[in-house]
Amino acid sequence: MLLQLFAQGLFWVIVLFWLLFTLMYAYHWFTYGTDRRISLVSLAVYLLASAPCLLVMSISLYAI
Amino acid sequence: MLFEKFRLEEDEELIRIIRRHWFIPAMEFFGLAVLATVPLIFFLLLQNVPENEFFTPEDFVAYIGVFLFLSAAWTLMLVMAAAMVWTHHYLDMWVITNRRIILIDQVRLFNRQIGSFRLERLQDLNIEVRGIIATFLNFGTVEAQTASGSEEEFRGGGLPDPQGIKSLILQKSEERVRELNNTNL
Repeated sequence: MLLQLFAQGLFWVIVLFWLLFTLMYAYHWFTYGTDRRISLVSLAVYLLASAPCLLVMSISLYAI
Repeated sequence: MLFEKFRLEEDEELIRIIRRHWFIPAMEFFGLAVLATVPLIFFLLLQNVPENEFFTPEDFVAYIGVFLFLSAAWTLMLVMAAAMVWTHHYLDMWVITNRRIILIDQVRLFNRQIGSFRLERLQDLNIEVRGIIATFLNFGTVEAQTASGSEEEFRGGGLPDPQGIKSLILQKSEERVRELNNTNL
């Protein structure tokens, strides 16, 4: 029970950190990038790589 | 985007944008890829631990959720680190125009250093190619010293074809000085 609570807390801390990082990342690319297309691709690849990690984290919470 | 902010001067032409050599981020990505295998190695080691009074196959199954959770969290951190490597590579650049050189160093998010010097102020330009890999792949450091009041020095490491960059800057610098001399005549 305690482990599950700790994992849930950690999950939301990581999600919050990830959200803040994603906002900063997108801001930098769309403010300082030289090519909008490359900025979009960079953001899309980053989101596509992050999504399975977040999915596995949220699903594995139920197995703890 | 970036060039909307620069506001090039009248008759100023963008000649070249130079980013670090591909080998620099490739090595950083490789390091992250090695770190990504840590959960897998840990998993394989756990699988091979012989059964004893502290660790049974039931424990292994019971903690598989914790293992998956931590592995995914670790991978997510590495994805963010990889995003930073790519940002550092792509947003760091030397912009060469026919009037000036603009150096942008994206140290990290919210830490960005921008310097520029006019080509007619260029006093000295040095290049350095150090090491076997840098020699074979042709990348190195370019240092430019300007004749401003404080004798500023601009430095960029890991740039591809430093000799080519030096030639280009010197050529444009000479053209600029000639252009200014003709204007003053």
